[in-house]
Amino acid sequence: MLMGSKTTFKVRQIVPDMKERMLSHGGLHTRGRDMFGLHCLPGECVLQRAVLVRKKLCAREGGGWLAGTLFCTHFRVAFVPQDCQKPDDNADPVLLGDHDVALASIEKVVAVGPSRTKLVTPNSSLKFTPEELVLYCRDLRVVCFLFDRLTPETQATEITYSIAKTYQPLKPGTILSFQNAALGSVEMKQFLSNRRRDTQINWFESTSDWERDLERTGATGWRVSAVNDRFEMATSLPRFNVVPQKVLDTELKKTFAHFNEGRIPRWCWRHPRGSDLLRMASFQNNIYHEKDDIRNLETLLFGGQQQCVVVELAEDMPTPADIQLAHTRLRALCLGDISTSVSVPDDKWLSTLEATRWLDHARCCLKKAAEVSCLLRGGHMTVILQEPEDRDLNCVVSSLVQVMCDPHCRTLPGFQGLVQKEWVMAGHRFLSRANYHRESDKEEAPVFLLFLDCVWQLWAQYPSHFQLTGDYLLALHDSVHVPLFSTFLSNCQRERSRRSQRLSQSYTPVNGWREVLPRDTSQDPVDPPLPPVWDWSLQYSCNRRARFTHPVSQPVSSQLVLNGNLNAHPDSHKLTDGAPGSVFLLSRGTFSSPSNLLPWRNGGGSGSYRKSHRRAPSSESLPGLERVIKAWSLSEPSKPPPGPQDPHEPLLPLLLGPCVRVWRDCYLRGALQAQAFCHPTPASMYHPVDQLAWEVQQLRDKLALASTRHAAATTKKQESRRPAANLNQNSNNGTFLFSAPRPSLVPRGPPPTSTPPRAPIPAAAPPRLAGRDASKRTFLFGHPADARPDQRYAPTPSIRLPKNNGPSLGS
Amino acid sequence: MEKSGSLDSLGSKQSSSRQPSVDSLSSTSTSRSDRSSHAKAPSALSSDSVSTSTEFSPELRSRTKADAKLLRDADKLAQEEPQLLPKETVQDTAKEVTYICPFLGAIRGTVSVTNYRLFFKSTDRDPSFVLDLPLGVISRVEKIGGSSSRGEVSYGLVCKDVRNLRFAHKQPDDSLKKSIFEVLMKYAFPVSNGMQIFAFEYGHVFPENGWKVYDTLSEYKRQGLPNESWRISKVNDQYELCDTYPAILVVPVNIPDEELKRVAAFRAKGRIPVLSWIHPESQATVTRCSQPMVGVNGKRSKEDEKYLQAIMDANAQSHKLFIFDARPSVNAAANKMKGGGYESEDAYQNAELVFLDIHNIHVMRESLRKLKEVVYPNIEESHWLSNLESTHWLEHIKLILAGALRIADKVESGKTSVVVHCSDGWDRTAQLTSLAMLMLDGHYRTIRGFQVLLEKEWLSFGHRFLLRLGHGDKNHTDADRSPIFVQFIDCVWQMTRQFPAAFEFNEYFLITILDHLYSCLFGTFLCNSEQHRAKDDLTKRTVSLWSYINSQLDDFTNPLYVNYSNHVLFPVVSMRHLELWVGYYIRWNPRMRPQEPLHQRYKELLAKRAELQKRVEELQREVTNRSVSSSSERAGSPTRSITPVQTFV
Repeated sequence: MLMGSKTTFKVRQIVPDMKERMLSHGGLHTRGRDMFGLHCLPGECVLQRAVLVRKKLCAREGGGWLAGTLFCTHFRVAFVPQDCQKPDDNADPVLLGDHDVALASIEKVVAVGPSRTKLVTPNSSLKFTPEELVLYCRDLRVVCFLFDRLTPETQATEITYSIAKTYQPLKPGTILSFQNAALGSVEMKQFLSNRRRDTQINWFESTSDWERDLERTGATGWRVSAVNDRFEMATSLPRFNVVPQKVLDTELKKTFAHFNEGRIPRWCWRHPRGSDLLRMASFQNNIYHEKDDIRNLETLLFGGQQQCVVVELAEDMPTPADIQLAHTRLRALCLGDISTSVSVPDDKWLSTLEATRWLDHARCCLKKAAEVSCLLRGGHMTVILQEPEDRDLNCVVSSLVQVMCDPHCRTLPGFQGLVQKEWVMAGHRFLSRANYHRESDKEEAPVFLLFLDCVWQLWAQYPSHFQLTGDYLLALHDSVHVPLFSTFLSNCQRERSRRSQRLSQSYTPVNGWREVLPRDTSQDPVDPPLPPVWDWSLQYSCNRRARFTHPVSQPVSSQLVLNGNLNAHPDSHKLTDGAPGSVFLLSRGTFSSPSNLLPWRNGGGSGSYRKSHRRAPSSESLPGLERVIKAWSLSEPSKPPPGPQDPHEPLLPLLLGPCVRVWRDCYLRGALQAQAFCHPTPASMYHPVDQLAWEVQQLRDKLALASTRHAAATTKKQESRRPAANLNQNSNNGTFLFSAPRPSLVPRGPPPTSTPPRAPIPAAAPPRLAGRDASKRTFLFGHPADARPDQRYAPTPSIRLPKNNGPSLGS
Repeated sequence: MEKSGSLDSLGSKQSSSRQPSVDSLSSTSTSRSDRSSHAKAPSALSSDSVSTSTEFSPELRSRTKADAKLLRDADKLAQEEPQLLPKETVQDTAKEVTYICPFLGAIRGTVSVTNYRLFFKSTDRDPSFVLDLPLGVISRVEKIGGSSSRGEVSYGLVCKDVRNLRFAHKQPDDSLKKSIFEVLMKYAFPVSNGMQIFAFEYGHVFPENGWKVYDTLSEYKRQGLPNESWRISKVNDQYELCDTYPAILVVPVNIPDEELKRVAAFRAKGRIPVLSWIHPESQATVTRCSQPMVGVNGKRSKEDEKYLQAIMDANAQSHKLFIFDARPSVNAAANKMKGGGYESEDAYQNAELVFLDIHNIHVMRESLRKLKEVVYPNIEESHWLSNLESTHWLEHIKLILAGALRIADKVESGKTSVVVHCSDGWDRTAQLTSLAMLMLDGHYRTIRGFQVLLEKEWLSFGHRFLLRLGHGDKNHTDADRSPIFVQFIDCVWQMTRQFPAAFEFNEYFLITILDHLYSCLFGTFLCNSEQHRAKDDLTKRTVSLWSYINSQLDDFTNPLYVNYSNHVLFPVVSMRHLELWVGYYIRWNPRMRPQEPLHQRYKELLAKRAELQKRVEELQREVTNRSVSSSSERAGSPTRSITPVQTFV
């Protein structure tokens, strides 16, 4: 054992050394630089390197150990496997390789010596040569590296120090330096500023974005209001909000004061059966309600509908503090910790897991969302989610409802659009909830992670109804812990759009400058332009991204056109027994019609108004509403199953104890107890299903290629059509590929640029093509109308920037 | 009844026979099942709305898929009566019976009792509700309460497959006429009533004879036995050495039969250490036996010591022998009072004794009873996990798997021979050796290999199925009953979860085995030992479950099977990675219906791949034919990238 003596270092002594090293590489910051086999980002410095290191692979990766070289840069801890193929020098930079960990997502560094373990902090000194290095990450990963006997001792020690020194607990300053480390170089900025947004995602930033969604869902009677364009009415609301057509902007302006933070009822989504989903904050009760105000308020609440159900979320849902507590416990339970050697005994795992209440919270959110989905299915009402601040659980429930009811939200672009709409634009306080800066521990609450867990539960129960996969959810989960993305670094749209201003101030602290937003802040050397999290090709290699989507999915019937009044099927859930103008409250699982639900209803000094007004509280349809919800909880076993392809049927989650499960792939990735010895590494690194899916994709690609070549080769067009037509027939049978373009996994030989316009391929697209009249209205899997169907086999270079293309086209 | 139908017609029957099921809301899978049934039988009854996913679920799924398939009648949409098996006869029928379903409430209908099953069909529901259970699963029938005000009596049926059923009906006016449930009792417990188990009457002939699946000698031959260290002994040919062992045993070469008899005297029930499995390379062996008769005085047996030494010597790779005693050490010590005990390391040179802490049959029975309480009929949502924990079922599973893992690891990584025993060597020992062999040998992970494994380690080595399950016996409190075999299948299921591509069979295969463990339709799980089986002439008089299974392998095949035959599987045995087998224990709860029959999807993927591959080949051929010039430059890459596809298949 080597205790003391020569291997004892004080970290401080290393610092000048480290600087030196950084300087010495200073001149080499060229793009595509390859340092000791590590493909660096532009401007990235390698601080330390250790050779002959083995990385422990988790069960998903096949278990066992992988030999390679470990690097610590000032942005990430990178691991390059021995026999990995050399990356293309001209490929676009990818922030994190398959085995990398961003420094900012490291929470703890633990060195394991021959006889003990030690938590390594920036100030601690090691009295032994580490044999094993364990990184505990915020995203619940535990990454374990084993140094070989042949690894030079100094390398093992120094890389441990380097990581401990550079990972840093997050503080405002460190975040910025981390961002600079990743994205700060001139090349990187250039690269980022040239990046084009993914046009498949609805970003909900402009009026037209919202209009697109109104049109897609077939919502009529609503309009996009720009009354909050300068965030004057409500600072936390987005610029554009959807409100009933009947309400004029001048009338609308008066309503903001009646709601907490000015978060008025806003339209979120229309159910194909014609109900609308809205969300709002709680009422400001101390405000005098004028008669006109009341009419406006009620128009806002009712939209064009006859009934209105207010779903109170504060009452029986977990608070953000509950969620935080549960998550803290879950972390403690799942991570285990060899530095403190406190871990829950295996035989208490189940009850301890229960005691974290995390699963309870997930179940609760799913249950509420399922109830709301059932209400919406009833048709012709507005369902309004109400939460005091409208910034946490409203986000969870409204987006879960849409995931359950709207197949579009289960596609990759659809889901990302959903998060844009219900979280990013709606002003979920990502920054405070994530608490990157460690400045407001009270506010910290992983509400978004709870939402991801809920989506995972749905996905685990109905995998084939999702285009996105568990791998995608995992990637999104991990990204939340990397403070690089504009998506998560602000609390609302206003802050987001001000962010660049604040930095320009640091140069020219003139107040007057604020309004004049210099567009070229991206050139500012201090502040890197932060990319949105949805720019996945920036974060992960194409191999990883290929696993984000299911290659094969359920068919969607073709005649789906949503006009919001779809009542083709006799509907057992239809509510006809409510008097027009009824308002109900759903709280704690029961309906009521309290007179003071709307603060202005019980008088407020306008008794005459109430009499004359056509709306009156009614309890007539209470039983009907109760039935809607009860029916679901009894799972309606006597009812014949609805057509599985009926997309109006929500995916109702099973919530019985055994059905709500631990997201093992996420939370137990690092569980040390779970790492049994796994001798046989499976022959292929991929899961057989992935492998299979990949092969199917391959074959399809080849088929496309072959058939186009065929088309080119033959003059008989009729014949060339045949294979595609058959394919189409198969897609009727239930398996067709999502039409979103996928980067192909292997470099394809002939570049597809040479292929002529493909005659047969459009025919291979899902049958929906024929049936949709207004192409934008498709409520289907598949990309929005602007993406061309013939993209599915190979991205056409002409419509995308070459930079955006995968490596297959970049060369 | 004609016996051989093509698979096509079977497919259609399968779907149509489930037509009356009421399993609702499994909306997700219907399309697929439609498709599959269409694919199998284009002329099948039109798109019925019943999903294949019901196959593991169902309260309502009326009959096990297996039974459904056995039925050869054509149309059964309007079935009033069950489709009878050969030699099955209706014994009694009663109308106006209420089935009190814990999930759906009271259902009125008609009950028929045959010599094989109880069949209930609702009269007041559409689609009708059907309940079809083999009488063999009934553990006890109890009359609950006297006549109520409405003159109804109610009967409770406690079943062995984790459910209870309750019926109520009017007492027949004619007091001489027996209630149908008294008729039921007679046929549910034929052994107690001096009758024959139905398996002896059921004489269906399948294309394959499942009794031929396991041939002792050829299985040992597959393992490379006999070899220079191990010989095949016929000393037990007449079951005289040990009446619970098979006739053919594999023992060390240098121990003559005479000495075996002296060893047998020192081992409980004469169950001497014999070879179960030998490592093809290292020659390390898994041997099994019962406890040594050490007793309070610490008796020793020179022959036994020499015998274990011979087992160790047969493996040149290691100079050590591991003795795994499955019991907790306390229990092993307590057995000394009854003359048993464990090997002392003083007496057995170079042997290391390890206790595996697995509890006895009574603890397991109690654990499953608690589990049943927790999962049937209702699941308490808020305390589900702690309730589950309090049953300790998963903990027992974990200990068994962990024990098997240690055995497999010693053999594979340590190249050391092991001896496994518990008290008698037919419960825990069977679990451990068969699980270890499943981990070590890919052959046992195939469908036929698994059948061989069961035939060998469980049936031939005398796991006392009759006693543990109580076939046809009304004495439900019998302390010898215990779900040891169910527990083993659960362990196998846990392994299939962790290695989804390593097993040729699917979950349905395991469930079918468990269903017919109780059904008494097949002879496989009758009797206690090979000797009894031979005496009862089961192979002639009954049908093997494997005949049925091997005649329709398609249903039981895991579409994702990759033959990792040379791999040793080491499952993770942490509680964190074990799950309750919902598809078996909670399958009666309609709210637990499986959402997505994934294997169905995998099958589709495979079919799709095959189809696409064919088309690609076709097209390529066509292209090369038509435009030789243009194809030459392009042909390279597709062919190269197609290789992984082929290797995968």
